[in-house]
Amino acid sequence: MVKQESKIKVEGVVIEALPNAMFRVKIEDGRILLCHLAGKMRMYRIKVMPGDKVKVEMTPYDENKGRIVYRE
Amino acid sequence: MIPIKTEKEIKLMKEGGKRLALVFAEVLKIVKPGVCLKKLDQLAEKLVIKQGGFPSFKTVKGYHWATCININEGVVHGIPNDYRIKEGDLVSLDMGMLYKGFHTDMARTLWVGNPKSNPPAGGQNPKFLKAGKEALRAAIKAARADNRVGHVSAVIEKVIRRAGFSPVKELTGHGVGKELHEEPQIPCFLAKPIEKTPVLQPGMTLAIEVIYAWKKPDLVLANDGWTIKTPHGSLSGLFEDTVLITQKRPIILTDLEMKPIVC
Repeated sequence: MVKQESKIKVEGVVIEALPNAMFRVKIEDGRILLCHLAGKMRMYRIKVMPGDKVKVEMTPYDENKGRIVYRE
Repeated sequence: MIPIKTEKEIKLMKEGGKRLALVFAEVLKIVKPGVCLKKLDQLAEKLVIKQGGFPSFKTVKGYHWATCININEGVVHGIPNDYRIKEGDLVSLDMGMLYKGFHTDMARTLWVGNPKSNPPAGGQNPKFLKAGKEALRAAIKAARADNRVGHVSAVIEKVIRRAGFSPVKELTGHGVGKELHEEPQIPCFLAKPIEKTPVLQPGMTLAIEVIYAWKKPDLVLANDGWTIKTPHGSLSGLFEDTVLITQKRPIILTDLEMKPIVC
């Protein structure tokens, strides 16, 4: 079995903005993930809106959730 | 701390590796079009138990199968489901066995079909698989005492890139022994300067893995929570062997008779 060293990053497009800095993001293979905004992005006040292309980090513990870490 | 195995433990792992290779060869024989992945998994489990071992992957929390089988754009950790192998599929089989307290781990990728059928991604498949096999061979050669993990990683990256493919960055090989995943992590590319990676010493047992993709090595976690695949259909390959580091040439514990690797 292969060891996973770092989190898997995927690219996606923000579909919907939800309360509490949560977003629905559609990723490359068509799935929709419920994502939250990374702390660093909040700290530097980087605004994310529907239609933005973003990079999402996926956790191995839940395939439906993600963490937005970058906005193009 | 990277565990160093004692003489006795090495003997057990040699035996375990040999048995795993036997089981692997048997399962490889029935990888053909029309075969259901579940059947491959059941056969693997049956044979592993018959050899006196236990499927290693079942010791991973939340994973209930003996093998990981990945088709085409699946990279690793594919759950063996009801999918039937089709002509032209690229199939990666990954299997581990816990024998007398020690794990051994191995994997191979093969293309299913006769030369006349259509391979995915336009007929360059022999090069794709050849690159992986060569990379594993070269990586094992580089796995000598007094070399570092970085040497192995660098070699894998070099061979894969030279063939025009991309090593996967988020997945790594690993030490293996009492646990299925031990230190060190062995990435398929040079992640940090070689001097900063651990030194290899005799008595270490490593599961050296070559994980690479046809084009972009981006990954995504699939709906089942386990399978990792490329989001845009890029084919991927996986080759792995458990290797013992010695004072001289490394010994491949999971040597498949069908494919002798000469160091």
